[in-house]
Amino acid sequence: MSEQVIGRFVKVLRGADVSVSPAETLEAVQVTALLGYQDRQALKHGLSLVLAKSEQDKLVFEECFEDFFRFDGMPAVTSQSAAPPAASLMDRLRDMLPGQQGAAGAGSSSTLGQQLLADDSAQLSRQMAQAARQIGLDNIRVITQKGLYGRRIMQALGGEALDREIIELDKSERRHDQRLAAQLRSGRDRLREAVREYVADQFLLQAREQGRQLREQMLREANLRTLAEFRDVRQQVEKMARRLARKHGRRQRRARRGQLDGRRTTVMALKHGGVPASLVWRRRRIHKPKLMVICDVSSSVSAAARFLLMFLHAVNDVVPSVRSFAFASRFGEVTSLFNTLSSDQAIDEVMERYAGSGTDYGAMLRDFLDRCEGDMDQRTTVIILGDARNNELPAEQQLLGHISRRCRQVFWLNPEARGRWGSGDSVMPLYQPYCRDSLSCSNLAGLERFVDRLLRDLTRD
Amino acid sequence: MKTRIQSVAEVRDSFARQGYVCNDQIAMAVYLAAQLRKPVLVEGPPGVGKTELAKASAAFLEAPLIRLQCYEGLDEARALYEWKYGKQLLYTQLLREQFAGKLDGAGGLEEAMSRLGDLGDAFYSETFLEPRPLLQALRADEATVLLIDEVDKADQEFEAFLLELLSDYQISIPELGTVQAQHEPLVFLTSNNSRELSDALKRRCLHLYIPYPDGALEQQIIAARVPEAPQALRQQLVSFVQRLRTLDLKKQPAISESIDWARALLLLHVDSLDVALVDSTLNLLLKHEEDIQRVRDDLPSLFK
Repeated sequence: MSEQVIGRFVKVLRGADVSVSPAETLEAVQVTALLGYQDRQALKHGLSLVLAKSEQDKLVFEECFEDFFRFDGMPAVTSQSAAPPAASLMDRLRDMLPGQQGAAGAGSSSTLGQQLLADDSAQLSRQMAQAARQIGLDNIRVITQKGLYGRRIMQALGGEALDREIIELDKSERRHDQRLAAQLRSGRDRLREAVREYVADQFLLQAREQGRQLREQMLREANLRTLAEFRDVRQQVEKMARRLARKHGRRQRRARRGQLDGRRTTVMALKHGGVPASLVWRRRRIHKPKLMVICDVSSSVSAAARFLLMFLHAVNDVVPSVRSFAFASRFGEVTSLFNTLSSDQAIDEVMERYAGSGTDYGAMLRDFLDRCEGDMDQRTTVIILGDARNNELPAEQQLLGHISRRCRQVFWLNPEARGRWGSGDSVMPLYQPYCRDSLSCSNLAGLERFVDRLLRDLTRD
Repeated sequence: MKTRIQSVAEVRDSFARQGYVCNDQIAMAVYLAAQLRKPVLVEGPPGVGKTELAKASAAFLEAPLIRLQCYEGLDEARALYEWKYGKQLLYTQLLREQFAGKLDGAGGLEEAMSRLGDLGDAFYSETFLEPRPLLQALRADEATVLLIDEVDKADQEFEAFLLELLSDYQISIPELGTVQAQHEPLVFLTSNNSRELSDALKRRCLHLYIPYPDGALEQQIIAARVPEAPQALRQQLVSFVQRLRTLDLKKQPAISESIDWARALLLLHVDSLDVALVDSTLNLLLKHEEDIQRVRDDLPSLFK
């Protein structure tokens, strides 16, 4: 029983973006076995220790815990054991309505009706939770299913028998029956309302996860050009960048002192007649990669430029030195903007200053060389983002060749699909031979793949 | 080490007797850690008593405390074990003649090699092994409390290296094989959140977050630590510190600092706070000049 409850709770947590591993779920089961359900506060503290592993997660956990374990104390544990036999219920019903004891048809004949009249809300809510499990309310996915699941729960609770009874009673001439029918009807309405609320709550708990996954998937796959319109896309990019930074960040730092360097120790020892008076330790060299990014910000590709810049500046834990350049009708360095403004503001500023049309890649390459030739060395990686549509101007690919000899490598990102490279005024095929690799990236997933690969390459020893 | 812990309340009461006042959440962490045999990762702002928690637990469990302070560049050589290279090399030099004698009359390269082989792994034996805190904790004759302090200061490689220790209480030494803990230690890791710890590490630990305490708890803590301070002073002091924490300061005053302050006020024979006094003792609470300046400016309004 406990496993199921914890299992569902973990699902809710995952839905709220707290990552919980199967091992942690097992621990949570152990914890509940140890602590029991009696002390709610203790259970909360205990579960929080094994399930929520950062400060933010703790806050989310708290919220989810309150939501999930709110329903009538501990619904799931008691629901199966606690269905009292109908006879005792009838007894209680009679106690409550002593005046009507003798009359025929005093109480309701359907079980649900009896419960409604008894107004035993704790019992009803337990049964509601049970019915919800029976019909698999966990499978609810979209908001339009709420009515369907609500009806199914009513059915599982015995709503049909109740409906029939109300119809029967309505037909009867006797005043007493009429009154009973009215009572049952209002009881049924209240119950329906409760079921509706319950389903809505469960929907929020259960469907959050699917919704989030779906949305994330969509954001990753959507074309960059349409993406700028979404609100939380920046969060998504930051999340992806954080993941990449974490993945590659660890390679940056190296222990200053590792193993003994036997060869150099022996060499040093020669001075002292072979006695190793001083020990030499192995050291590892730390690479400091440099990155230069040139983005075409003309209207056709500005969206891709926006996200690439966002990405690269978000991973600057791993690659501390990024110089960015923007060009459309003119060319300029924009690094300082990113140092002083937040990435969003900086990008807006870049777009405002440099956006335009009539890109001339040949002139851009020349400008870039004039400005940065001296700064390039064998640790420099140059990334060019653009569609290589040169407006019938000379491509000057020899300049790119010169750049690629000066630096370690050149990558070219093209937001257009590979099939369109070289069509019309695109001079992409002329540039391709000088690039270590040229990739098409039209969505976030593609960008992520590229940055992943880039970081792996840069941080390799 | 004490093996049976009855309840969360027992932990809390024992801690309280030692002067470590804590809430249920902290006591629950110690209780579960001892029951489930799991390490505890303690996070929170500096000065809320993370290290103190490990010490209190060691006293409660009547177990020795072994402490490993982490820092950037910490590697297994300093955390786990090290070969005494100097000694090894020195021995080689001193025993040179011995080797020569041993190899005398060897019929050829093959035989010389096999004779050398007979020496066994003499140079990679216990004699030359220098155990560091982690190995000490694993090989101790009784269960210990192991405190790995400020693990976020260590490199990520080190974090990865800890994983084996944390999940199985064992460690692999290439030359010796796997060392299994004789008695599983109770492990505390503390972190100031100077960087994000890896998920793998977090997954293996119970995670306890200790925030700054609320007013009532902080008063209890000060009452336990500085019992001589009069009630009225405690109240005034705590509410002032709590108000300071709501400000946007470079470094917020921690519990340890309010305790220091309470002690200092006691030395000065103060019964109640006033603006002039706070002004002159502010540097006990705040450790940055700009913070002090900032608070000094709106001291009258803060001090209500």
